[in-house]
Amino acid sequence: MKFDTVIIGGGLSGLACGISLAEKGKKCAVVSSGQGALHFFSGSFDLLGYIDGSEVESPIQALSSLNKEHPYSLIGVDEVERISNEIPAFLNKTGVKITGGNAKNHYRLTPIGNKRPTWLTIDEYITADDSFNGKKLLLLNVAGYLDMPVKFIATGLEQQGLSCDVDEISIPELEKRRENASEMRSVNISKTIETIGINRIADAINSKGNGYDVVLLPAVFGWNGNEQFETLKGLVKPMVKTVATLPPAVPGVRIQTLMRKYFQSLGGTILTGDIVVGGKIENGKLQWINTRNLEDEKLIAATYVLATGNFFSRGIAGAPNEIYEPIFGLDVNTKACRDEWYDERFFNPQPYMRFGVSVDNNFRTLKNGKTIENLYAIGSVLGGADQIKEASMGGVSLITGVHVAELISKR
Amino acid sequence: MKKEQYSISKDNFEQCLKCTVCTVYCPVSSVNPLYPGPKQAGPDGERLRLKDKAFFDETLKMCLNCKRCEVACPSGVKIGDIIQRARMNYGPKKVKFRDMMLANTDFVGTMANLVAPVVNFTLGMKPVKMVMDKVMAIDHRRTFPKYSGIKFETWYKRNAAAAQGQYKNQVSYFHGCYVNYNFPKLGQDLVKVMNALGYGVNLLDKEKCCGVALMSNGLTAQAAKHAEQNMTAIRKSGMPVLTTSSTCTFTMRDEYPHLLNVDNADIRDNITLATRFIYRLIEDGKARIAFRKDYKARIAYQTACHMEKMGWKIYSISMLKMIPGVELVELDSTCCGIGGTYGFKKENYETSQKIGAPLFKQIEDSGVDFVATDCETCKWQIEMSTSKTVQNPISVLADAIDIEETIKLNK
Repeated sequence: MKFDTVIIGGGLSGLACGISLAEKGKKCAVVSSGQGALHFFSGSFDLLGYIDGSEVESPIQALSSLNKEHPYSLIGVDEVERISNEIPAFLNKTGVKITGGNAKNHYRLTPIGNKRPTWLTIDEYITADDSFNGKKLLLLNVAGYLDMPVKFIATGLEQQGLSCDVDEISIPELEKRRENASEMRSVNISKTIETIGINRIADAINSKGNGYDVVLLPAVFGWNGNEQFETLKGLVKPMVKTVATLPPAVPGVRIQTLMRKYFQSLGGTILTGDIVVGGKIENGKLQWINTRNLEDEKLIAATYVLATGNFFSRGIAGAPNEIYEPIFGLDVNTKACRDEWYDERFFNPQPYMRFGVSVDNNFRTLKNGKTIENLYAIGSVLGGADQIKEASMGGVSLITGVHVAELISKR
Repeated sequence: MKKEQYSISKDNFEQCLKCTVCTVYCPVSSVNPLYPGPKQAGPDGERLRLKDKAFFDETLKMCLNCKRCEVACPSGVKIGDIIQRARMNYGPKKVKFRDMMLANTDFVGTMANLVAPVVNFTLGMKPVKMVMDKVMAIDHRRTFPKYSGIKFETWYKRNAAAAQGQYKNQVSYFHGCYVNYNFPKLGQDLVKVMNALGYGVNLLDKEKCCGVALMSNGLTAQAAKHAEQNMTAIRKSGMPVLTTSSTCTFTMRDEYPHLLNVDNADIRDNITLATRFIYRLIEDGKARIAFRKDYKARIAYQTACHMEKMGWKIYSISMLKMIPGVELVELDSTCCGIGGTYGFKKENYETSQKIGAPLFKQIEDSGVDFVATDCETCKWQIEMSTSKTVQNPISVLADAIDIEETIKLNK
């Protein structure tokens, strides 16, 4: 099978890259081994939240102080600014609605009520900034739903000077879900609401929400599209906002679904639940790849993009004495001695979190020090940054994804 | 993958990170709160069952073995296999009469075909359905597939066998119970298409039911006997073995070694869906097809669960897209709810129809002429639950192909 580009990995960076290429008329396939990290999405895309543990106020201004191996530094400060300016419109096209900007971080509210600096937050979420000062808040849980720690969140809001009452709603169909506590999960609730109908949910909310300015709900609306929450907003008298829950994250599942559908609507192909098992590198180029499911079928493309994620998604793997890239054995910026992988103090920055695939200035991967001319890497598989500690994961994924799509289309 | 070297189970269950992604895609737990869901029923429960089989939970029989949890799992855990194996190892050993009847598709098919008009008539009668419902717990709302009266094997021997030797290329065909007893036309369509492409079609020596229904109804030993006999027949044939059912294919390729411990490593690659075989012939330039100029159809493609698991929908879809007059609508991949014999059982009927509801709506909204799918039980379910008819992609091809011209092209 022949494509212009084959992308290995169907998470945020892979889909962003695939969409950018498909929009330019390229024939793309995405090979996706299981569902991606968007299923644990916080509700916000981070650009750059911390440098050496200190909060960043303006991510754009802070870019120039990053080390030269950082993916942002490889792209260049001006390019990161340009692409990050375009990301809100890019996401909006796929149906993902967000607020925020790159000149100044705002705060998101974490599922346990803390605040963290971030770049873009989906529209439906409450943000932990001053726009709710003086408002009367009601935190309304679904009775029996355990993945939103209500007291933590109320305490978190109080620490910001907001006062917040707590209550819950109960509907017979949702009550029935409680018969199996382990399956009273966000997405199952979202699917049950589909069958109940959003009107009855709105009625239940309205019966509790009298006299409040804002009703806060767990993010359990619309696992596969925006309609459920949009309709709810029109039916409930106070302003409605949602709060991030523990996984699975309904908004993340929705973003994954919307981006996948948009990619497919542009003619993109997705191979779900499949893994790339190998390929042939010859004359400095990747010639073809094989997947587990398609067996001896060769997927042949002019360019390939590695978007396989970090340790969690198995884009990078660890064995007792090595850290490696499991598909092609690409160069990884690891340290030879195992003792150097860790810091003994658990909460200190961990060196292994900066490990990832090495790339040249054009995001092309290397094997044994030699550039593979048509195999790029994007997103969390890249080394050179502790994307969790510095709060940059969403930004690195989106911006490297779009940047590499531009590099490929200029070829 | 190197990580698997460090696993002690063949299901990879140690790799479960408790991430909950599988629970997002379980069709059963989304509509039936009594089912503990793939995470709890699979790897979580397995930890306990390994200690003491008393932890086996009867509700595991609610799993319809769609394997969508495995497709979603980012860690490669064979969740569906863990659940099926637990049912086989710890489930009740005594099998109900009803389940035995539903499971023995080839025995029941042979008997029914002897008196097909009577069986078709009586199975359609309300009083008979009520008796079956009350006595056997086969739901009275379910429409039964019709028995054809003449088996495919009989038709083949009388009308096709003698002519097959004239073709320069030869394949075998595993027709399965459905083609043999209920719908010989699909087998006839395959013979027609393959002959036009210059391939003779042979039957296997004493093909048995693939055994999927035996496995899901607790008749494991009998299923293993079928598996051994089929593998012997496939080895003896020495040719590529084509199939027209995604579930038979998946069962013989993957469930035999994973669940029945029947080794098929030497011949697994020989077993392939006819759509895949044909697509690859055309793409490799080994055969050519001429299409009828007047063939026009708007078709929705339904990805059957086991097709999703095999990752081969790209072949059926690409093959259908080769037909100039076809406009293809790819439905969102989701379970239709029938799960083989699952939806026939009275206790599962409601769950089955609730699972299928979003698919039925997509189909009704799609404005297509008919639906195409590689699974016969999806066909029963969709034809019973929507206003559309359903065809196998091979039958679509048989209708769209210009036989005379195609024969000339492949002479």
